[in-house]
Amino acid sequence: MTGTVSRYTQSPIHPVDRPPLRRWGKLKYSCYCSLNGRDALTMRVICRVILGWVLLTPTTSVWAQGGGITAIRGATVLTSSDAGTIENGVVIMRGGKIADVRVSSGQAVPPMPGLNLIEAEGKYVTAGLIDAWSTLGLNPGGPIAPVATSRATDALNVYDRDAFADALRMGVTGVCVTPPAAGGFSGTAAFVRLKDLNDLAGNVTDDVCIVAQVGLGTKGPVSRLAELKALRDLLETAAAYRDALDEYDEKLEDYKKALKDGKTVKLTKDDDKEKEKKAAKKGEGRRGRGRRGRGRHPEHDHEHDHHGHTCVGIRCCDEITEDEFVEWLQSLGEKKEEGHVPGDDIGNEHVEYDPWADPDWASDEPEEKKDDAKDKKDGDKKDDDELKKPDKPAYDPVSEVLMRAIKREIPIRFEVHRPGDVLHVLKLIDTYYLDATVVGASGLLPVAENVADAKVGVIVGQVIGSAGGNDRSHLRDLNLQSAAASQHAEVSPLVLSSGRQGNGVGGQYLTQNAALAVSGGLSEDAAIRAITIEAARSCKMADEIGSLEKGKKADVVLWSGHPLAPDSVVEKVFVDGVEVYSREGGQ
Amino acid sequence: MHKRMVFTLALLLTASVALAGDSYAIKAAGYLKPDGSIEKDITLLVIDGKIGAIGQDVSVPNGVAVVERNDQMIGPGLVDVHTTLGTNGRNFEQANSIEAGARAKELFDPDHHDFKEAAAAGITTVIIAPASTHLIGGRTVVVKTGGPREERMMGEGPLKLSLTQEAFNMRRTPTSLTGGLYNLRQMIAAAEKNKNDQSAFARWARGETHALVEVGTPEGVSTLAQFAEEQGLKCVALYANQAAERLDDAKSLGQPIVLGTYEFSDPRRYTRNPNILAANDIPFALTSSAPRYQSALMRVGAAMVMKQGAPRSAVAASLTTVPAEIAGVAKRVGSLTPGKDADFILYDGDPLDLRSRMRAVFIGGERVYVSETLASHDGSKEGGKS
Repeated sequence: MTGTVSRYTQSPIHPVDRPPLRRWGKLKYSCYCSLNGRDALTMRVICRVILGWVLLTPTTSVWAQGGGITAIRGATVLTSSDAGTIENGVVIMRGGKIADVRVSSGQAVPPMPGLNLIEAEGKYVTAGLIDAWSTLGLNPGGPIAPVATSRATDALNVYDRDAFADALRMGVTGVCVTPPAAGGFSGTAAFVRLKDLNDLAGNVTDDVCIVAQVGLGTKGPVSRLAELKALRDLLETAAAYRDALDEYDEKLEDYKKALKDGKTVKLTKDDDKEKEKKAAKKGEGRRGRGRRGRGRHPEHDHEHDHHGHTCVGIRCCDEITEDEFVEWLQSLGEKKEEGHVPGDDIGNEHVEYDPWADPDWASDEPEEKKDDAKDKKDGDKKDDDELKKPDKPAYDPVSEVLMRAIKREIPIRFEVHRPGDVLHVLKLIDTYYLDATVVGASGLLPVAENVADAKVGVIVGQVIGSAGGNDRSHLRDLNLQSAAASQHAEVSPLVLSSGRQGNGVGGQYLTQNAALAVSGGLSEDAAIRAITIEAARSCKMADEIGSLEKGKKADVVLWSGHPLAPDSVVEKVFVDGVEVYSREGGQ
Repeated sequence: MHKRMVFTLALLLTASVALAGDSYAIKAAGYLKPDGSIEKDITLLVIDGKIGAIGQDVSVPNGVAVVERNDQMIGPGLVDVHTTLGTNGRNFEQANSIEAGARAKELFDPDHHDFKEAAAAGITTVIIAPASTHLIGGRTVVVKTGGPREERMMGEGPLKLSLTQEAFNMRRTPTSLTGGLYNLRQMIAAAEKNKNDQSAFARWARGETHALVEVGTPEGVSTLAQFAEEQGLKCVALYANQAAERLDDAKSLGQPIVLGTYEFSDPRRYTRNPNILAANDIPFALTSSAPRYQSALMRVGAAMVMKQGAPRSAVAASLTTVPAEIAGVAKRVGSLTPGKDADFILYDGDPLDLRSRMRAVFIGGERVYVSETLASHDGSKEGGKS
C-alpha cells in the first residue's frame, strides 16, 4: 500500500524506463507552475538541481548511484536525533544522503521526473537499524583461540546471503561483526553495511574496534587472575612499545636535523634521560616506560641473507648490539666490570670492557663470528665521531594493534558478565585511559551505578537468553535486568544488540529484543535509540549513520506500524538512498 | 517514573488482600479473545476459581469485590505442550527404548522451582513428557504450574513417541528408524486384536486418541505421515519446525503441528513456517521445551513468528486453545470463557506485544506470580511477592 503517485514510480535503480530527454523541458515547466507549499518548494529547489544534474550527465550511472529524489511523506518519523519523534513528517533522500527531515505540509505534490514519492500515512520511518554486537556472517566452526591481531573480516562469510537477507528484511542496515569470545584480546571487529547483498565485501569497514573478553569459559579464580594479568601485561607492553616508537621518532628527528646541519651529533646518556622525562609527561595513557626491546633490528621480521647463511627471527647471529648484549648479561646475573654500570657505555666512545672476550660467550660462538664481532666493534669505534642512525624498535604486531587502543585511536570493547569482573574492567579502562565499552554485562545490575559514573557505555546482548538449563533458572532475564538497570542508572550510551550467538545469524529480532527491554522498564525512545544512533556511536559511525538527520547517509526503513509493535513489518529499506528491500517484491 | 512504579507496587499489594476472597471481579482495559482480537473495557468475574463471566456487560453481584485495572489487559494463561518441568532428568530410561506403560505422572516433583519459573512466564498449564530418547516414551501428564498442590494434576495426557535420531542407538533395540517402525507395526497389530486393552498405547493404536510424535526433521514429517496413514493413527508432529517444507504431509496428518523452541538466533527458514501453516489452515502450537529453554521463550517465539507474518489469530491460538486441545484439557483451560478455570494473566498492554510486561499471573483465581517493579532493580526495594 505504498502509494507512489509519480508516473515514474520505478525505483531509481532501474533507469530503463526513463523518459526521453526531449520531454524534460516541458515537465520542468509544468512542475514550476503547479507547485506550492513548503514541500513543493523544497521539491522544486531540489528538482531544479536534479534536473540540471541529470541533463548534464545523461548516463544511467547517476540513477544507479541513488540519484533522484525519494520522499516518504505522512509517516511518524522516529528520528533518533534531537528532533525526536515527528508526527506527519517527510523524509527526503537525494544523492544517497538525507536531504531533509521535517513536518510535512500535506500539500499535494504532482508527479515529477525522478521523484519517488511514497505516501506513508499511519506508518513509521526510522533510521536503518544497527546491530552493534553480532556474529552475523560468522559461520560456526571448531574451537579457536583468536589473538589481538585477528580480524573478524577473515571469518566473515559474505556469501551467506540468506543470513544477511534475513537481517535486512527486518530493517537492519548495518552490522558490527565481532570476533567470537575466547578470553583475552580476540581481535578487531568489522562493520558491514547491507547495501548490496551481492557485494557485502565491498561494504566492509575493518578495525572498527578491538574486542576483549574477561571471565568467559574460565573456571575458578586462578584462571581469572591469569586472564586479567594477561590483559594488563599486553596493554603494558603496548604502552612501552608506543613509548619506544615515540622515542625512536624523536631520535630520528634529531638525527635528520643533525644530518641537515652537517654536524656530528651523538646522543649522550643525559640527553636520553631528559627525553625520557619529556616522554613520560606526554599522554595520560602512559604508565611508566617499558624496558627497551632486546631485539631492535629493523629487519627482525624478514629473512635476510647474512654472511652466506640465512638468518630468521629475533636474533641475527652476529648483529647483536652492545646494549642488547649488556642486557643479556644482566639477565644472566653476570658480574659487571668493577665500577662500571652496564649500559652506561651505550653510545659512548669509551667502552671499557670487551664482551667478546668473555670466554663463556666466545666458546659458544664459532671463530668466524668472533672476528666479525671484532670488525663490527672496530667499525663502531670508527663511527663514534660520525652520526649514528637510531635503531627502530622491533615490530610487535600485537602491540601495533593494542597501541591504537592506548592512543584512543580505536575503541575497545570488553565482553564481561560477572559484576565483579565489570569492576575490574572499569579499573583497567581507567588505568590505561581507554575509549571503552562494556559488552554483554548480564550481571550489570549491582554495578550499574559504577559503570554510569565511569562514563562507560554498555552494549547488552539479547535480553532473553537461550541458556535456560536445569540449574540456570536463576540467570533468567539477566540481560533484561541489565537493560533496565542501565537506564535506571543513566548509563550512556545503552546499546541493544543480538549478541554472541554462534550460528552466523543475528540482527533479525533487534526490534523484538528492544520490545522486551521496554517491558523491563526501558523507555520506547531509549529502546529505539539503542538500536540506531547509540549503536552507531558505539561503532564510531554516528557521524554518517544511525539517525535521520540532514546530511547523513540515507539508510531509512519504512515500517507498517510502530517498529516495536508485534505485528508491524518492514515495508521498504533504503541504503544510501537506494531501495534495497521492498516487501511487495521481496517475499 | 520511579514513583509511579512504587505506587503501582503499593496498589498490587493492596489488591492482594482484595483478591484473597473466593469471588471477585476485575475491571480491565481489555482481554484477548481466542480469535486474537481484543475486546475493550471489560469486566472479568471470578467465582470460586472459575470464570463466572467476562465481557463489557457483566453485572457484578452484590458483595463481590471489584478491582480496578483500567490500565491493564487480561490474557488467558498459556499452555505448553512439551516440557520436562520438575523431572530433574528422571524422565529417561536407558535400557529400553519401548516404554509404552511408563507414566510421567510418577516422575515429577510438584514442588520443583521449575514450576515457579513457568508460572512467572505466564505458563499455567503444561504437559510433562518422557524424554525423547525412547521410541515410545510413555504417557504424559497434564499439570498446572501453581495453585493448591492437590488440584494441580489435571489428568494424564497423550502418549509420547519419538522418531528422532536420539531415540535410536547401538546399545539397545530397535537401533534404527526402520526397525522402530517395524516394532510399532507389530505392537499395533497386537493391540488391534485385543479390543479390551484400554491402555494409552492400545487406544492410540486403534486410532481412538492422538499421540505426540517427535520428528524434528522435514523428512520425519513425511515418514510419520506415511506411517499414520497406513496404520490409521492420529499423530501430532512435535518439533516439526520445517513442516511447511512438507506441506502435503503435514496436511494429511490432520492434526495440529507443534513448533519450537524459537529463539532470536533462529534463521527465517524456521520462523516463517507458522506463516505458511496458517495460510494452509493447519493449526500449530508453540512450546518452550522448558526447562531446557526458558519458559519465557514461548511468548517470545509467538512474537517472532508474528513478526515473520503469521496472523494474530493463529499466534494467539498457538499459545492457548491449540495446545489445550492437544493436552485434552480444552474444556478447562485455553481461553477466557465462562465455566473454565480462572487461569489468566494481567499485562500492562496487548498480551501479544513483547513491550507489555506481565503484571500478575493467576491460576484457579489465585495469584501465583506478581512482577517485580523497577523499584527493586536498584536493590532498595524487594518485589511485591505475595
